[in-house]
Amino acid sequence: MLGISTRGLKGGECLCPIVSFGCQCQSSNQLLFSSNPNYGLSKTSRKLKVSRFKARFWESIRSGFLKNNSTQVMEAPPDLEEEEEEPMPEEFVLIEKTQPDGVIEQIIFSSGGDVNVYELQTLCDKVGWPRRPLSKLAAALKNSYLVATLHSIRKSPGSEGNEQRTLIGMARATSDHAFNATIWDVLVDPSYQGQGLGKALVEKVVRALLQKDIGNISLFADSQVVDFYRNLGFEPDPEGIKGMFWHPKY
Amino acid sequence: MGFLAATAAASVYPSAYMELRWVRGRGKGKCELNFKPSMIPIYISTNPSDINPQELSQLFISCNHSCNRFPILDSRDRTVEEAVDIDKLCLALSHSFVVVSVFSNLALSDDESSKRLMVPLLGNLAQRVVPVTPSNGQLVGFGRAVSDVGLTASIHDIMVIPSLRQMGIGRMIVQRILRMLTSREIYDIAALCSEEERLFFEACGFGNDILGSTTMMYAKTASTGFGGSQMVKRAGRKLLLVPPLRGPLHL
Repeated sequence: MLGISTRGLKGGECLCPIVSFGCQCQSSNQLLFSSNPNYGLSKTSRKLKVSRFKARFWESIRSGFLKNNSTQVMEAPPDLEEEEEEPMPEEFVLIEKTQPDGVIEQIIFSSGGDVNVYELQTLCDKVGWPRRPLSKLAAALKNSYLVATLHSIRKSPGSEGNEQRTLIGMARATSDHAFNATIWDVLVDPSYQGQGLGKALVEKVVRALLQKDIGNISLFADSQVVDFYRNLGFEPDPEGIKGMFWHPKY
Repeated sequence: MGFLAATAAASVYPSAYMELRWVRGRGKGKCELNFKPSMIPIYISTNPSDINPQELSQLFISCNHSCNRFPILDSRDRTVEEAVDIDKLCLALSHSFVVVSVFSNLALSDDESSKRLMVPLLGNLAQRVVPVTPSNGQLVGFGRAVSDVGLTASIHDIMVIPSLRQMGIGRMIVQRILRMLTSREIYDIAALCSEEERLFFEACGFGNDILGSTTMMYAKTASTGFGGSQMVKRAGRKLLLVPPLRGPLHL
């Protein structure tokens, strides 16, 4: 049984990319582009500082190259220590169930936290997606603007805090932080489907994007989930806008 | 002579970001002097610091392009009526994985392009020999891509000023973006395009999704019958409805 799936399933070579943009820099260009795991929701003031830093950084780069140099000299950048803090994940309980045997199950929505790639791989297997290289998956998660997850937490009565936490859903969005966002990889564990969890995931992602004034929200839906997204307010080929994909010529 | 100019440029600007390229001019229209279409030097760069946001917003206006997918348009001539938000543009640029800019010092407005063919070759000699650079050239083309640098990428805002279109510059921009992406092993590359842009992207090697997916965009607008409790966000001419927060369900 397939999960609620959107496009993004190509396999490929397993190779760790060296990147210099908006992520943990492993190259010597660390000076220019600061690390920033871009998980959107929780850190409003911190994100504002980061984006202001980047804007001011741009100013300084520009002023060094413009012939009409009328921009001010950049002031000292804000303390980089702020960016190295671990972002606090935003979490809240979506559903809480008490089973007849006393076990309490909570479905927790979370964004901004880390996602275990092995857990994600297991989830992708459950919904029947082809496997993708783990390193690419990890890189994609790290560089996504927003990664939202659903976890199931099971607490037995009297087990004194021992809980079982399982990843049961995920959605991620890439974005330029300003105008465009694309939602990729929406999936929910088949045994948890049909409860409105996928709908909650997507709604939260859309809400988070719109709150940051990101207005072009797109996705590429498999044929069996087009109606699912239509019910969430997505329109197919709006005003004739279509997605085209690169067809490499070998 | 063209070769000399290229090598001169290469020695002065050795960086891998920058390239001096030549494109063939259009050469249509009446021409008394009857010489061949001129080769125009352009400078293509993937260095984000070559971009002046003010110049870029001017290019948006010249190309009648908007960052919003559904911009506010004048009802008669369909020109984009919204101003470019420079701060937002800078934010978008700083979070785009690839940014391509094209410069030329021979760009002309449309009514001058027919005059250009009348000018003797010698008059342009100085301009042809001096290499065009971001500081002495005019921004005439642009394109960018957003990526998760692992699996996927999307291409946005490809544009070339009207007087230099149909010379292969747009295609060059796309190919440069593709080169940057594939060198990072990213092969799942999408481009959202309007009807007019479709032919262009087809010519660049894009086509329908082989997995048969449907492109969808969030387009839910507020309905008037629900009172004032809905939160909306403006995106161009659309007022998008923000999905409401739901409290936890207890079962």
